[in-house]
Amino acid sequence: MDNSIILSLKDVVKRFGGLTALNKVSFYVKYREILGIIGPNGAGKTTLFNVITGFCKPDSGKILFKNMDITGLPPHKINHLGIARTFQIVKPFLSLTVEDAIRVGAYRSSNDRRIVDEIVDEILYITGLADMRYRLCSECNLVQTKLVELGRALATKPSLLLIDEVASGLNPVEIEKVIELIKKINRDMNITVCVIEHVMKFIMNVSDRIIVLHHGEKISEGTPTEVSKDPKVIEAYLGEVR
Amino acid sequence: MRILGKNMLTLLILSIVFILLPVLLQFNNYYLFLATTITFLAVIVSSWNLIGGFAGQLDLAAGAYIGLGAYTTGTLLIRFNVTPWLGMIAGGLAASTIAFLIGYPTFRFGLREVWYALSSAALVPILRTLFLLWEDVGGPAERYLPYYSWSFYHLRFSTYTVYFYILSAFFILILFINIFIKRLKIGYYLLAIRENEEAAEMLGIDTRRYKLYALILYSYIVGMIGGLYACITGYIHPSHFDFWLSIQVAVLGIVGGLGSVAGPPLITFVLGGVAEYLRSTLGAYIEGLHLIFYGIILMLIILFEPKGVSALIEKIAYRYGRRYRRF
Repeated sequence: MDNSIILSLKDVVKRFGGLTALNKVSFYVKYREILGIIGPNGAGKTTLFNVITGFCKPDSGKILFKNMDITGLPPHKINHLGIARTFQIVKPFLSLTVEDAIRVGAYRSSNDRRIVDEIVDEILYITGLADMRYRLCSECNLVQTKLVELGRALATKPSLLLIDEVASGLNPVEIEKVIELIKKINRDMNITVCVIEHVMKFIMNVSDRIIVLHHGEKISEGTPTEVSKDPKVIEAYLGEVR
Repeated sequence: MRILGKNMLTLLILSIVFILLPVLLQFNNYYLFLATTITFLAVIVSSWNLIGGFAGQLDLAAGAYIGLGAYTTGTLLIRFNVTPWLGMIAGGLAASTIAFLIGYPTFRFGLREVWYALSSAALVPILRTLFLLWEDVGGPAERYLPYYSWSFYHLRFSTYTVYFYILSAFFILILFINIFIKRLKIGYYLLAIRENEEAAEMLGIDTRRYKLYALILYSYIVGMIGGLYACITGYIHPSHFDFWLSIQVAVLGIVGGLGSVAGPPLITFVLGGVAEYLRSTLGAYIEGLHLIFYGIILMLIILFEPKGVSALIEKIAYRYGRRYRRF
């Protein structure tokens, strides 16, 4: 077993009725890297995250996290092993304050209120939400909502963080900030990151390595420059070249 | 104890008010009866807050747990002369056992929100019918508890004062539990479950387990109160499985503000008084007129403040404190 690999998928298949959302997808994530996952709409990116985090069970295939088989475990157990995620369609705790939403995540690491409060302060500082701490999540705008979601995932102290389309709907300045944040999380907190993204500028900038999904299959893999030159990828995005 | 701080003072003042209330009411049996019924309702509403307010599961089985508690306590006293103090503990146990048997599969198979409401609501008529047919515990006939005008062993008194004090103690206790839970990990977890179950699950929360914790605690307290209810009414009968009570509890819990410690009991006391006033003044003219007014008051509150009375208190506090505080 290769000890530099934190997460690996082997021939994962997921079908929804007649639709094969994931068809024999295999890939790996190395410790402390930022892996980008791209692909056209309906390529199966979010399904991939759902399968990894236990929201749906794969029909076949295996998912290994730190050399442990986590296939089919419920989400809360997967989180306890050290995987956290954010959602493409945000799932905020609307009637909680920003601070309390993050505290929910922080209680994963400790039952001691003092330690929990320390984690909350730390996360509020990192995400730049300190000014918002006593405001309700329902008062947050889209960036703030996404940052709270990222913050509460971080508060569970994961070793692998899955980020699902955090940049969509944000303006260029905000995207710049989020890129910095993700790099900081990766560098300073030693967290391995997987990002799904549609915004190309974002993914090319942030990832060490990229995999490309199309119709539920992995069609390409490599550094951002390699992937962007791959004819198969260009074909998937722009249609067949005649 | 740090986390109780201000709340301790509030609870202390509240306790003193409760202790003095019978004196203020000059031990008038009618007023004491009224205070007892309203406190009875407030205890159930406050414990419903655990499952309905914190965990966000619209439970409509309060009537079932009251009935189970009443039958357990009553039957133990009538048949085996077991003191209701123990009977209440057994009653709570019976109620939470049934709650667990219903809750486990419903949560396991992902029945939540309205579906949970429906399945819990069904429990009341089902149990009512079962107890109607169960001859050993009385069947359709009323079974009377032994009469004593003053007996702590049998928990039978000819005055409401003692019942009122016991219920008040329960009320303070349940407020304690509410305040505690709100500040502890379980409170944050339950709120997260109410707000978004999937997100909560992904934050490492075993949502099924925490919902069961809330359900068991709630049904246990309501079961105990059911035991007390048997002693207050002096008999057990299938009508103790009261669906109207379930509805009333849920309505007061929602109008008071989901997940709020102060809102639901406050609205219970205020509306309880108002309802009785309406009944005594309007009830004499046209039967049921007071219920129409009661309904209008409820509707006005919800129209005016959809999040319930607690949101109103919070808004006022926010205006003065510039900081969001929950009540």
